[in-house]
Amino acid sequence: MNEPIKSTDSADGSAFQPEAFVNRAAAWLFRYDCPDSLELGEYYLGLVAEPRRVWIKDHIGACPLCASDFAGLKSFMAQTDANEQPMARPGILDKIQWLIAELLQPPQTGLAFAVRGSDEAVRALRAYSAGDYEITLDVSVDSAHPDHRQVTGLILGALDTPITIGLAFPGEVEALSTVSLDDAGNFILTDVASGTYDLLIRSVDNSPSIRIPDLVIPL
Amino acid sequence: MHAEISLEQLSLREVAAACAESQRSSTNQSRLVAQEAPNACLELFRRAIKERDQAAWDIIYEQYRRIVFSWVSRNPVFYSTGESAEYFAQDAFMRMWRHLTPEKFDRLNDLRSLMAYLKMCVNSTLIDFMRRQDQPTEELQETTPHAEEPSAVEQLDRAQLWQLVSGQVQNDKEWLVVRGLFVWGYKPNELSTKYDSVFRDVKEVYTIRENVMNRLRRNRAIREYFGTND
Repeated sequence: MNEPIKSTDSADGSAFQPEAFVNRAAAWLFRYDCPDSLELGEYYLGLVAEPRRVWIKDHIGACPLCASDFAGLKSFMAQTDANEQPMARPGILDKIQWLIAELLQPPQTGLAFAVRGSDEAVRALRAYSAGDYEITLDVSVDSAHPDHRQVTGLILGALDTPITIGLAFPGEVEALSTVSLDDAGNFILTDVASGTYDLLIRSVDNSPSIRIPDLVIPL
Repeated sequence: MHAEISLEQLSLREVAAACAESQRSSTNQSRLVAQEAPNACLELFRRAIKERDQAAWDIIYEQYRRIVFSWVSRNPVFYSTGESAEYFAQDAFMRMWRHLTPEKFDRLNDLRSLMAYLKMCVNSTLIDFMRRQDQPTEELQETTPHAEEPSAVEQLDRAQLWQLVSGQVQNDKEWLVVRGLFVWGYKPNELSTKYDSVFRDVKEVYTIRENVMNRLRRNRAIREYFGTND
């Protein structure tokens, strides 16, 4: 907690409130001359012209907050397979037995105020992590089968060997049906009835690979 | 013999299909479209950004929302926000739509660079969320000016206010204290720790702050704006 500064009388007898001044000044002046995050990003991408570019470079050197933001940006942009389609990692899945995926983020609906049961409310994005891989799933209405759902997904971090994906009843090892993963890591499962399933991700030699348990397909 | 067909001549639906196809194994697309497939996604972005084609942008959103969602979940800041990944993903697309001008598009020039811009927008939306969380808030009831008419100081913009405040600074240590407390939002003990090669201890920071405050209170404009007359 800040040590209070004593209030002092000014020449006209009014009381100057130092703490109030500190609070207001801090609120007013916080990062007043820092470039906004988008400009910082455009600077990183080489889109800022002179002389502003030079000013930002100097500012990053002098401002600890912008230096921290810029370091974080560089680190984030340097993450692999971020700007491209997933890179192949040969043979990794062959070494995996049952790898149970961990849910990174609960289902996120596309619209905060979607009416329950509406197409928008059905739609939900989920992210999972399994070893070196991340799987993003998107559950939405199957337009060809309106009473059923489709599951579209993206797998990052794999793809050297052909991969099949399917839904199985919980705990089962055989999928009800399978689809292939394409070169870009995408897949789509259509005509999925509501219920709870395990999603199985396997390499073509059928060695068990990744299991996403308890995937709920809503009504 | 196939006639030359440029991507610009294709319908939006054909370009979208070619873009999607460029990310999969080639199947039953026309040979010319398949040949142009690697540029089809770039053409989608060109229509969206340079022609401000909302329909093309909607397709881009659908095509790339999953990877953007993944980027959000991979950003180290995300899990401390308490917000949904979808919230930030949508805002990232909005930022790209608003800020990627046709001039900037021409400078980026390829799909890889455009995806880098989109990823940068993901980082930007997360950083701005945290900046708002870090923003100090003032106790308005303690700082309501007594004067009925807005004073000259109340009309200053923030840069001018900084000039006024920093004008009372007499040396580098005072500058660092004022800058650190007001602009960077550090507490005195945080400033003392971060710049332990400059300040002996936190008491020195408090002493310097009080010296500057005493000088500031003699400034009529600052006193009038920040003081109370109760």
